[in-house]
This record gives sequence, structure tokens and C-alpha cells, in this order.
Amino acid sequence: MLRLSRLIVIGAAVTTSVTAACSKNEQVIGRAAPTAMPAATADQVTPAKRDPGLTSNFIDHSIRRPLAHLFIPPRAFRSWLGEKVEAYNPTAEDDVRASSWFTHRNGRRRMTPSEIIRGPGESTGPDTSDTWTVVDAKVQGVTPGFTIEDATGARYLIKFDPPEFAGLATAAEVISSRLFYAAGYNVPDVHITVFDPSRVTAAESLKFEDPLGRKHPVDDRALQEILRDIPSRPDGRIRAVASTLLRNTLGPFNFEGTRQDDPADTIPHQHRRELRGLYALSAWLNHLDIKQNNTLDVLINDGDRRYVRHYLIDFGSTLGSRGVLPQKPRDGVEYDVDLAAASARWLTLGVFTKSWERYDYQLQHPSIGYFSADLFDPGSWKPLTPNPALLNSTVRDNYWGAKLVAAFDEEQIRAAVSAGQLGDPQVEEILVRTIMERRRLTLAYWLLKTTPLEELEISPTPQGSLLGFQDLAVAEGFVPPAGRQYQIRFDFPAAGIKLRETRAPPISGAGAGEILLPGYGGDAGFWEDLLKHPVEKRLAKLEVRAIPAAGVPEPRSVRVYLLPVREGSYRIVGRAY
Amino acid sequence: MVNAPAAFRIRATYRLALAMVAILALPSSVLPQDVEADSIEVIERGTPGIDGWDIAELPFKIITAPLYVIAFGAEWAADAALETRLPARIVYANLQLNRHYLYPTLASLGAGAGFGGALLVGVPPRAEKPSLSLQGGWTLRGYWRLTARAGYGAEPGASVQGGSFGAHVLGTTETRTQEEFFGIGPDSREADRSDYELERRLAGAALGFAPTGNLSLALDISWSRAETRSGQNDALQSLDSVFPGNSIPRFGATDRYRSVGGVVQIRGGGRGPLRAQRWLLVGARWNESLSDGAADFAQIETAAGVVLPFDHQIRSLSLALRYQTVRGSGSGSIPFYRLPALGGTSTLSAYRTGRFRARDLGLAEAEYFYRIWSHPVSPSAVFASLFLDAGIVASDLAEELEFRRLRPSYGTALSVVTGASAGGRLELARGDEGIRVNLTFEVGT
Repeated sequence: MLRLSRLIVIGAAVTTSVTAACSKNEQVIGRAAPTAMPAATADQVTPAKRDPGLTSNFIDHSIRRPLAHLFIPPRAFRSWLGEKVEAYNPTAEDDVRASSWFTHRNGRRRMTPSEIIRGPGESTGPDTSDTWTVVDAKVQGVTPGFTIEDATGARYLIKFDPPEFAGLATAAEVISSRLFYAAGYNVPDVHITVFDPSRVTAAESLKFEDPLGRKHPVDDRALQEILRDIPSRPDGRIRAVASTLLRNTLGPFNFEGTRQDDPADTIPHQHRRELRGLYALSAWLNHLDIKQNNTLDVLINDGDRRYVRHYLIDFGSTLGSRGVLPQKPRDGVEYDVDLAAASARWLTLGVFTKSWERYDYQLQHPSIGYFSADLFDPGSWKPLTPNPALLNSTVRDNYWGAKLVAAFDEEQIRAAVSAGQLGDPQVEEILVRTIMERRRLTLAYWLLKTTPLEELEISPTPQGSLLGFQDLAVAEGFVPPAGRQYQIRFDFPAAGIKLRETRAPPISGAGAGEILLPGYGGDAGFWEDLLKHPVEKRLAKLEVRAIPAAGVPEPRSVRVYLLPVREGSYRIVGRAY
Repeated sequence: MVNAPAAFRIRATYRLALAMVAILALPSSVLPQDVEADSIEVIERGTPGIDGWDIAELPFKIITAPLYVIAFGAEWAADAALETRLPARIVYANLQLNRHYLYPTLASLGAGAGFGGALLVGVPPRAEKPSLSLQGGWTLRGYWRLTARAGYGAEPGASVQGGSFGAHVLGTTETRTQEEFFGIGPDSREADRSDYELERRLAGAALGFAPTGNLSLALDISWSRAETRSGQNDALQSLDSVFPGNSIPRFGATDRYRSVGGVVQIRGGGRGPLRAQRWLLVGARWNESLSDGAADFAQIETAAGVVLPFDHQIRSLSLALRYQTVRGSGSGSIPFYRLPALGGTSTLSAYRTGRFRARDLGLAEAEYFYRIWSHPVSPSAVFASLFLDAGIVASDLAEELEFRRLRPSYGTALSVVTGASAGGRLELARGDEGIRVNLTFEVGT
């Protein structure tokens, strides 16, 4: 009896705790953060170089954590419920501030095709008109890689395509790098380069490290032998991707936790909107190898300021490339070691299967590898190893990411693909078509998960205030404008207004529409009363939820927070999707 | 030590719970009240602290802390191994050994021999190449074997390409220290579990020919000498104490035999676990005794099987039948260890190795297996399976074969198949005598 009562008390406490925890994602009113914050800054930043283990990272994310669900039932239960904490750093517009993680580019202002082709730097790649000197090299793995210095003294990291797949990894690296950069992320400046191997010499100090870690001096003759094994063009020249070397590197950033030695790094990375939102982008471009070892922190010295800038690097396993081989239909559908899928197959005696297992495919082209929209499911796409930030992403984060995807049009994608210099219009056309189709699927999935009203604007009219908007689902053609209906919930407690309605405002083919908001008494007495309330009580809240077609799950609503202004209208002070 | 009264303990629990609730409820009541209208905006709460799920998980985390320590240790070790390039060093060391005609293997010496390894010195048999090798193996249970071999071409009976030819001479000496024995006949009892040691030497020659890729023929002639005595497993009863007198044929005696035999194998279909396959094996051997009291006898073995993949080769059904018999001639006894046996990892795995032994053996095996994981790049894969086997031993199978006398063995297994020469199988099998867990693996050539 005694034990039972104790259990009841503890159970109630835990339940209350859980309830309290669940309420933590509610919107609250707070002081606005500074509007201009170009980069996370810190005057006394002296971070140490990180060198996380590749194997432990793989074991930790692919094996230990999934197995922990077996031993920690609440975690498994939470995962089953789909209970997730929303990102910690969205702004009032449900966006992120520009920072050393992310800069608004194409999503804010359309980049021209030439800007897309140019990418992040002013460089056009190494100077191939004169000799290159190899200053560092690795010969481990399937393809070798060099660090070279060109005649101008600029240093580049040079990587090659896998044998028999000319253009596969190098084009993927450049194309995806351009698109991630245009989306807003920091990436190294990469270019396709074609060089004459006979004009490559070895630095005097050049040494190759063999798989056992032993260093061997390399002279010009040995270097030429290594270059002979790399596939070349009929004219003897070799195609490669050249990446500008980043300086003051601090090693990779983790996709969870913070960097303890960076005072500006306060938000756990797994709860950063810009990292969670990578899910939609990575799925779109099949960025399979999105893990901490493919990121890089760089210490930036900007006058008196020092701060850490965070880069995504190595896009060799994107589109149809798996780096050293073409991708397969399995990639993107299942983790390399997917304990959940394996267990499901095991426990169901093989009844549970994934789409790729019955999918017969043929390689489209050696330069493309396997890159298709056939099995692409934007909501269940998976990289090679579980990524904590991507695992934490919610519909709101992915809607944010999907808007980055939506910002690209066909002309821009053609520009990015042309930067890959595949040299075959047909191959480029296949890539463009596939990227566009995956864009369509990505948007169709995430835009319909919420009520995608953008371009929100208040216009006072004699009848009341008009909330203008653009419905992205209509604009992208996923929903016809005619008959598009919304459930409206409007609460303005200070004015005693409470509205529950279903409306079908006229919407243009581009998704533009308006919703009339109720007016309120704007006399002096009203304002006197209103100002007596704490500021968070003065707000009106509008909740708009699109009514889906029959059989389609109900989307999330968009919540718009409105502050009454003296003119009798409102000012939008916040929104959340 | 004085225990607190029960009522006090309850109050303490209440207090703790209330404190917990209060702490967690606190942040939601602390809202900013002094914001200026011009600077307000709607923001998220920022960085939440501990949440309810964290609290609910805490006790489980404490309980499983030792597992975490083990996991982190394993992760550290994995990183250290990679940092010190241990996998590359192992591959390199193996290649260096191979270059010096040394081929190490991690494998057992047959069913029941326990964990062990072997080292081959020389040039191992391979198609269209001369070979000369000496192979020694040893297991933790004290089993050992030494084999010297010289010849040309692949080992007779091995899976070879059409048109290949192999001829070998070999000599083997081995000691199997803890071979288990339960008596002879279908009604032997597990309670009679005992062990014996078998020491055997053999010299012979073998010829192999595969006119096509689907057909292989092998012929051999050999001279052998075998001796049995009480086994070395102190935990078991000695064989002569359980079976006193001369109830076990040729136990304690030395047997010399001259044997001549042949095997025909017919295979159809592809290779690999998910390829359609069918196979038939017929083998016969005549053993002529060179010792007093030991009988001449013939051994005949026939086996047939089929693997039927279906559903895009995601799953397969494997069926197999096997029949073995020995038939004596003239006076004398057939040595007990030459009788066909059931039990162990390769036949009727729910029973101990050599659990049933008699002149005739019949075995039917059915296995449904399905791929649960495959490596994205290499041909490695993990298969799960359900199997149902039934076997019988009898002095005359034609007369004694009855459904109720079949010994069942059924269960589930996980098998690892790699493209390289490595593999393993973990099996949970149930039979009339309980449940057994079997683990087998092999790494190396």
C-alpha cells in the first residue's frame, strides 16, 4: 500500500514534469534581440582544434544511440510519439538571423545565374597555364588527393573522380557546393579544373603517407607514376575539382552540443534552425555524407573581432555520387547501418521491406551515377549515418528549409549544373530535370505539412485591416487557387474580439490573397485601458489553417501575432508555422 | 542505524515531488513584464533547461550507465584502432605473411572442437597451380591437426570451374581430445554424455576432375590409423565408466584401414546465398580393415538440395535431404566413431555434437532465410532465418523410419556473409532436449 502511494506520487510528479516540458515550445513575448548580427562574435576567442574520431562518430550514431532506445523506454516512447523540441533560435519571422552559420542569399534576393556559377569566392580555380607544385598528398582510399600550389602561389586541394566514372564526384562537388552556398551556407570555393599532368612537379619536401602511416619521399618520377593511374581525357589532361584551402581551421563542428571554447556558440547545434533545416536541402540534393567530419570551423580575424565561421565541406557524396562509386537506390532510403530497418525485417520475418529492395535500376550515365526521383521520399530520406540536427528537425524547420529549396528556379539550377562542366548537354539536362523533380517533391511534401502563407502584410482599409499573403502551395501549383479555404481563429482579448470562421478568399494563380481582420475601437479610452496591460496581453493572435483536400492530413496552422497601432490597424510582430 | 517512520518517508516523497513540479513550472511563470512596445517581438523561449523527458529517462540512464561505459570504451577503442591504423596493419601483416607463404586462419577444427586457429605454410591448393603446403591447427579445447599436402590444381571436391583438374597427395595427423559420445542407436540418453579422445593418422592421394562447371568427380585412396581412449574433459564422465565392458565397438582399440572412395557432385544455378541453386551429391567408400577384430565396411552418402529465391531475391527457401549408411562385411565390428552421427552446428543443431549415432542416418532440412541488412557497397550481408530440421539414426532406416521417431530441431539464426573469406552464424535452436545457442565463424582462407 505504502509503495503504491509512493508510486502514484512519483508518477504524478513525472507526468506534471512532462506536461510542463511539453509547454516549453509555446510562443512567448520577449525583448527583441539586436536586429543586426552579421556573425557570432567574440573578442577573446581562442578555440582549440577539434579532431573527432570518424569511427566513434559512426558507432555512436548508428549503433549506440539506436540501441539505447531498447534500454531507455521513455526515449523510445518519445521517439514513437514524434515528440520533438522546436528549434531554439528562430526569429519573430520564424527565420534565423544572419550569423557565422548562415547568410541569407537566394532566399532573400534572387541571385543571378552568373552569381550562382561564380559561387562563394572571387577565384576561378588554379592557374593551369603554368606548372603546379604538389606540396602535400594522400594516396589512401580509392582516389588520391593532392594539395597543390599554382604559379600565383595560391594553394588548392585537388580531388579526382573515381576510375570509370569521369565527372561523377567532381561535378557533384561543384554543383551541390554552388547550391548550398546560394541557399545561405558557408562552403569552400571549388572549381572544376583540367590540367596537364606533365606540368605537375613534386615539392622537395613532398612525402606520401601510406596506409600504415609511414611517410615516403616522392620525386617527380614517382608523382608521374601516381598521376598515370588517374583516368585522363583523350588529350592526356586530367579533370579534377580544386578547392581553395581554408586557413586557420579548427576542425569540424559537431551537429550537437556547443563549442565550449567559443563564447559566441551558445545554442546547441542540434537545436539550431539552420542546421535542422539542412534536412530538406540535403534530401533534395541527396547529400548522403552530411556528418561532422564533413564540416569545418574556421577562425576569422576581422580587425578587432575574432569569431568562428562554420563551413559545410565535401559534397562529393551528393546527387548520384557516393564519392568513390555511384549511389544505389538504397542510398537515401536507409542508413548504412540501419538497426531499426534491420530489426523490422528480422522481427517481421522479412515481411517489412523498403522501396529500394524491389527496385530494378540501371545507371543513367557514368557521370551521373544513380540520381533519381523515383524512390525519393522527402519526409523519410536518410543520410549514411544519423545526424543529430537532422533527426531533431521538425515540420517548422523543414518548412524553413523547403523555402530555401523553393527559392531556386530552373534557370538557377541550370547555372549550378553548368558549373559542374560535364560537357554533355544531354547529361546536364538529365541532372537538371532530376533536381527539378526532386525540388517539386520536396516542396509538395513540406509546403502541404503547414499553412504556407508568406509575404504577410497589413493594409488598413475602411472595412478593417487586410492581411495580404502569398500561399506558396498555390504559387507552386500543388493546390488550385479556386476553392482554397482556411480556418481562421482570431483572438484579441484586450478588445474583446474572438472570431472562428472558415473563409475562402479569392486567391490569384500566384497564390496572392487577402484576409479581412476585424477592426476594433480606437478611441482614447481604449488606448488608456490597453496600455494598462502588460505588453504580451495587448497582442492579437491570428491562427490560419489551410483546409486540405479530402484524405490529406490536416496541416499545421500559421500563427500571426499582431500588435494594435494607433491608426486602428495592426503591426505584425511575429509569426510561427 | 535507525529507519525513518513510514509516514515521514511518504512526506519526504511528496516534498520531493512538489519541489520537482515547482522547479519545472517556474520558467513558464517568469515572463518579461517590462518590454517596450517598439522593441517587442515574438520569440521562442530560448534555450530550455531540463525537461520532463529527461527526468523520465534519468533512472534508466543510471541503470544502464555500465552499458554506456562499455559503449564509450568500444568507441574509444575503435578510434584508437583507426588512429594507430590497426586494421591496415592487420591487412598489411597478413599480406606480408602471405608473401612469405604463411596463411593464418581463425577457425575451428570441425564441429565441437572449440575456438581455434590454423596456419598454413607453403603454397595452398588453387586451380591450375602446383601446391605444397603444411597446415597446422590448434583449438582452445586442445584439438590439433597437422596436414602436409603436395599436388597440382584445386583440392579435389572443391567448387571449381569446368575443365579443371587436381591431383594431391597428403598426410594428416590429428588429435581430437574431447569428442562427445552418448551411446549408439536412436534411444541413446543425454544423461550418458561422456567423452573420448581420438588420435588419427592418414596418408593418401586424391584425384579431382570437373568436366563442366556443374559436375565434379573426386576419387581417393588412403591408409589410416586411429586410436581411441578416454577423453580429456574432466567435467564429463569417462566413456568406459558409462559404457563398461566391450559395449562400445572398438573403443580403446587401434584400427588400421585402407580405403578407396569417390564422390560425384552435380550443381545447378548460381553461387551465393540468394542465387537459385540445386545440388546432388553421391559418395561411396570402401574401407578394408588391416586390424584384427575390425570389420570391413562400406560407407554411402547421398544428399540433395535446392535453394529457391523469390520476391526479388529478398528471401529464399532452402530444402535439403541427406542419407548416410555404413554396411559391414564379414566378422568384426565397425569402429563406433565411423558411424554416421547427428547433432552439432552442421546437423540437427538443437542437439550436442555427435548426440545420435548409428549405422543409418536420415536428415531433412528446411530453412527460410531473408536478408535483413546488406552492405551498401560490398557484397556483405546479414541474413535471418527460420529453420526446421528433422533427423533420425537407426540400425536400419528402411525398417525403423517413423514420423514419431524423428528428432526435431527448429529455431532461428542470424548469418553474416561477406565477400571475403569470412562469415559467421548465430543460432538459437530448440529440440527435444532443450534450447541450444550455437555460434560459428570463420576468418581466413
